[in-house]
Amino acid sequence: MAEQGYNLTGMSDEEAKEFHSIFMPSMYGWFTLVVGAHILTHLRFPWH
Amino acid sequence: MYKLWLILDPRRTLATIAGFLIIQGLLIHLLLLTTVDLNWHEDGRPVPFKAKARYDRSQQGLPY
Repeated sequence: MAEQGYNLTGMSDEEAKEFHSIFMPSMYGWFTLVVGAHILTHLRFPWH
Repeated sequence: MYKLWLILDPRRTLATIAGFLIIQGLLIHLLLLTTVDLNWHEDGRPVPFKAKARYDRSQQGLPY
């Protein structure tokens, strides 16, 4: 009963886990892409 | 950690992140294009085709 208080989205635990399992790899994939883009950009424009 | 999605609405979170990244990307790209030394369209690298052709032909003694 006490745990129902902080469920503001109405998602079940399973739904939240499923979304989380897609969201986190996507986020890390995006970060990897961004770091790669910065490395390539720095090869062309060494800004420091 | 997955319990975050019991607090934050995934649909709104995705829309917010997408909107933020698009605006941020456009802003940074336009900002860089307004500078002199980081503008990749007008830095002359690689040497533009016409300039390179002109140089190569001049090295061969050709008129233009």
